[in-house]
Amino acid sequence: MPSMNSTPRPCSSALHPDRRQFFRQAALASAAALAATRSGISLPAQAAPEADIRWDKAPCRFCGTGCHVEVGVREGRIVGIRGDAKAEVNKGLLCVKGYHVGMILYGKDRLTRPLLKRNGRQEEISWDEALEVVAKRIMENPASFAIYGSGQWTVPEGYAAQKLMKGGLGNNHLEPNARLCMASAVTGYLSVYGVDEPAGCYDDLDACDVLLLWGNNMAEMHPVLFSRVLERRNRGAKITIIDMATRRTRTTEHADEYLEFRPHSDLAIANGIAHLLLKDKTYAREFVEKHCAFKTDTSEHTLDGKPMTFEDYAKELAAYTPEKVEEISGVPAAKIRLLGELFGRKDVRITSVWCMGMNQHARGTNINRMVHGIHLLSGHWGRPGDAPTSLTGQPSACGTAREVGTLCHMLPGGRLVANPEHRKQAEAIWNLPEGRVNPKPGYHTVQLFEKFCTPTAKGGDIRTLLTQVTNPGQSLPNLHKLFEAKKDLEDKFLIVCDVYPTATTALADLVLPAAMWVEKNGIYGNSERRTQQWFRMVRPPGEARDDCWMTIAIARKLFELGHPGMKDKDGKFLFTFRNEKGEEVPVWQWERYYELNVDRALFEEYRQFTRMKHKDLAPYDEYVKARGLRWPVVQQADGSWRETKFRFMEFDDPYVKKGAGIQFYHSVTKDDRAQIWYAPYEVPPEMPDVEFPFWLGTGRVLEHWHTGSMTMRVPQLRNAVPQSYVEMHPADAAERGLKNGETVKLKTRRGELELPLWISGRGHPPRGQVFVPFFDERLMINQLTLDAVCPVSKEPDYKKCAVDVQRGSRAQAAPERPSL
Amino acid sequence: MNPFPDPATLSKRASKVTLAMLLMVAVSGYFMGLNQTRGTHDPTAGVDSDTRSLSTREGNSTPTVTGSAVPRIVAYSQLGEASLRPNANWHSTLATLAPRPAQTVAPKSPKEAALERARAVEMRRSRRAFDGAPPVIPHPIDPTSPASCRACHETGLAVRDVVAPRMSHGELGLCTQCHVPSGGSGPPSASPLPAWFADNAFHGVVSSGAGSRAWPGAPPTIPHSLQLRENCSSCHGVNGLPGLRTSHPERPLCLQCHVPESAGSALPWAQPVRSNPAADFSLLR
Repeated sequence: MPSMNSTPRPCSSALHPDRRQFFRQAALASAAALAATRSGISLPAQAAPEADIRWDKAPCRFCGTGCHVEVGVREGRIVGIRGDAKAEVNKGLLCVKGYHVGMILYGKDRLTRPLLKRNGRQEEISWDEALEVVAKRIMENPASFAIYGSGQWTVPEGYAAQKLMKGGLGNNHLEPNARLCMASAVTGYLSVYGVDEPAGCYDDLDACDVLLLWGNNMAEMHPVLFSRVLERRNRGAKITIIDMATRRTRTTEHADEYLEFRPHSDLAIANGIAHLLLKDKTYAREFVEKHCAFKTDTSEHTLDGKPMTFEDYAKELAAYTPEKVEEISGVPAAKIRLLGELFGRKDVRITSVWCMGMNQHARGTNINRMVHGIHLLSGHWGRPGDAPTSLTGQPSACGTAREVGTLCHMLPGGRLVANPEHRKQAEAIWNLPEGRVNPKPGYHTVQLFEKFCTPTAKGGDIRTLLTQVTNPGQSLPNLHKLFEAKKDLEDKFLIVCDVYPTATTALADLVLPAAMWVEKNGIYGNSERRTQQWFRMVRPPGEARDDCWMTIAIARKLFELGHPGMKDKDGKFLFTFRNEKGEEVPVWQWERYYELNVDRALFEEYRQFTRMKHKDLAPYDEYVKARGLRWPVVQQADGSWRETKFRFMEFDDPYVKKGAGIQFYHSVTKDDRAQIWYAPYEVPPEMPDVEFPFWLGTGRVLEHWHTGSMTMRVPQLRNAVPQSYVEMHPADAAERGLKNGETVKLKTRRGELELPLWISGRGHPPRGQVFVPFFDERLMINQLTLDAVCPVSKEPDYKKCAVDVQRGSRAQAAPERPSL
Repeated sequence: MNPFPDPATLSKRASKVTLAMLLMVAVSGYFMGLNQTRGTHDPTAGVDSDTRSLSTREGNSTPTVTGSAVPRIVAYSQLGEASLRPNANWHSTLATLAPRPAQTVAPKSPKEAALERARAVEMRRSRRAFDGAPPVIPHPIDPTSPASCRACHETGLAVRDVVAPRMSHGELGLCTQCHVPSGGSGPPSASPLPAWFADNAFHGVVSSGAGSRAWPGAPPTIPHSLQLRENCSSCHGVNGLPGLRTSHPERPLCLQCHVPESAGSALPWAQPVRSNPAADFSLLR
């Protein structure tokens, strides 16, 4: 191997190598420095740079895959990132975002001081003033205050907000942005199994013979998991990848079968598969009789639906012949038969995965239910590799939004605010007087922003809104209505805790600069029920501070202002922490916040909730040792803690009765059965017509994460995809005389946007469809998207609405940044 | 049948007969010929013993041709066994070619070597955020398929000083998962990046530095992690950047002498995660 002194030696020197080498090495140091100076190249300053780098583990900041990275820190700054080979999730591999995740801290426009809008300008103020402003705003009218948080909140951050709102203020207007990305998956799991989150895990990807993708561009959205499957294939395993999608993507390049369906028609395809399983009598009769019951959606679209008999189920499905499904979906009947036959086979293991395609869907709950349904009906359930598994888009959508229950109707541990028993349990753990928790669910996300953007006089009863770790000004649908309308409302007050200027801070009345990722302690929960912990490694810039600290400090201000909710039953402050000596530590004073590990203290309190629905978490210190553990994590006789890979399956899940084989112990029918749902194909709320003849779909690209507020500040990622664009079929473009690269105008009933056309680019939509990524804050496609929601999950459908495409009215110019 | 056929029919008949005769002669001639070669010819007989000296020997400036015998043609079926030699008109110009330049160039001075390495490090720095980050792609790419990446990078190639390094993790198939074009991807007209995008103040580690030696003359250690850098020849092979190339490409077992400097990611709390052996699905299948 070469090094600086690897020039070949004449043979004779081998006799006296010591002296020669000594001189050579001595000469090298100075020579290298000299040579470098002359050539204008800077050599690394240190001889062995690796030596003084401290490497520590952390989950990646971006998506829900939950890869572990190792963060290299030298002199208080991140200098390198590497894939953590010890992590089971990613086995050392990352994606391009993960490799550059360390750079998101160092964008030069980090927010470092609290900013208050005065006379139309955002002016720097002190933290104490800022907290005073927030607390006073809440005190004025506690019931019209709301917190809008995030699936990027750490578990303790979400838990603290939960306790402040529901335990302290008796206010349920607490929502996470995860409502926009996985609420339909939640309602799917709840209505099928009675308890949220996948039964299987990523190990299914190592065991499946068939990988079925339901509207999921896995090669770009979950590349590390997709690579895990491709790597098996490249090493010789026979794996069939079936890509069911509404446009061709990078994923299609690796698929054995590509089934292109019309938007929304996945409902018909799922029914078509079930139809064939019944018609061909290939369904798993024994499994169904033993473990399943049947339900149907009703016109009221409730979570519980209505029970139905097997006979009625079969009768409903009779209409979904392959020919009928072809008519609805555009997928040839032969391909529907192929899927039916595949699910009828007992000798293959089928893993279905999905993400936003099925979740951001006006019938999101139903399509989730139905995909679980065909796995249950066919018996492709309950063995490693036979699994229906949803993937999440945010690093702690599962951990914080779903498990901590930071939704308007929930309490931690799968408890519901509407359930008196559940409220009592929460009040007991929080040591609150009875009746503190409000039984009435708050507003769900779309409602919340509607109320915030409606004048108070017209019933807009949300007046002060605090957002943390999220960018609703870009990520909400129908932005003109749900966000930008706030601009003209004098009495509405928006508080934004964030790390960079965004479309949301642009409208903020108060900006609070936040610490991010490894600038603070944290815990995330990924898509496969894995809880992951990390420690603070570097200091936040300027006066940026932890989100969790902000929540506690706001609570303390309210306590000082005399809000009665900030005291527990015994008159103690809600967030009272004691150090090892038993002394109270005033952690609301920033300089004392890290005197003890607040994350650990909050986590240990929160853990009590997790055992209520068999989502047991281990003590904090166990997570310090591990690269995440999948719940339920149950203590063994020898005192050790054991994670669970496969739930409801006797061979792995300790909560399954011995001898039961498979037991759905949270069954909604209380008989250990899972529900197989029937729901009809229904037309989407908006479809292309004469005026708006195209479908508009939105989504992500590999290089950027969600609204791009972090990835657009990483040169490598920003340079790779610098700007948003619209994808269109070449024939559609030709018909309208549009050329590649030309500026086109997209117009929906809600707004219009000009952006460049990319034909035959990364994605290939079929005729009649266009696609636009949503990462670009200068070209916000969500000004055009529809705010129709799934009636059960209340999750908006970002994947389909009607749009018109015309030639742009102006020449392509650099889009302007929204003013701060 | 008409005993007096008209002349036209006659000439038709005559041509048919002639054709049949020709065919017979051809067929019998073919088989006779086959038989003749099989029966009477010794395949080596045509090669005169004298012609053996036709082979070029190293050091001989011109091939010597002795004897006038021309090797005879053998049947296709016996080609395999025939020891054919060049005939008298064959001339080898191998030996007149310019001598091949020596594999290993003259030892560089320490100064030159250090400069070369510094250049290589700078080249690497310009293509990646920090040492260990996946390099960006300096050229346009096919936005959908990785097939075009593999065309050059599967085996690696060099055209003059442009090098397409060989992949050092060939089992991974999603190239664009980690490697993205530095020149951007998107529609051709996309506007240049606006100035308001603030710079990034990240300064990553530029190089792992050189490995250490236990004593002068000992093989240097590998200063960097081997994760996804399993194929040393990607960077250090003959197509590697000057300054990083090995001096002994003929020895492919790099890890025989060069070992990683440290265990890399060994951390004190790195306990293996406890998992249930019964959950190992390979046992259940």
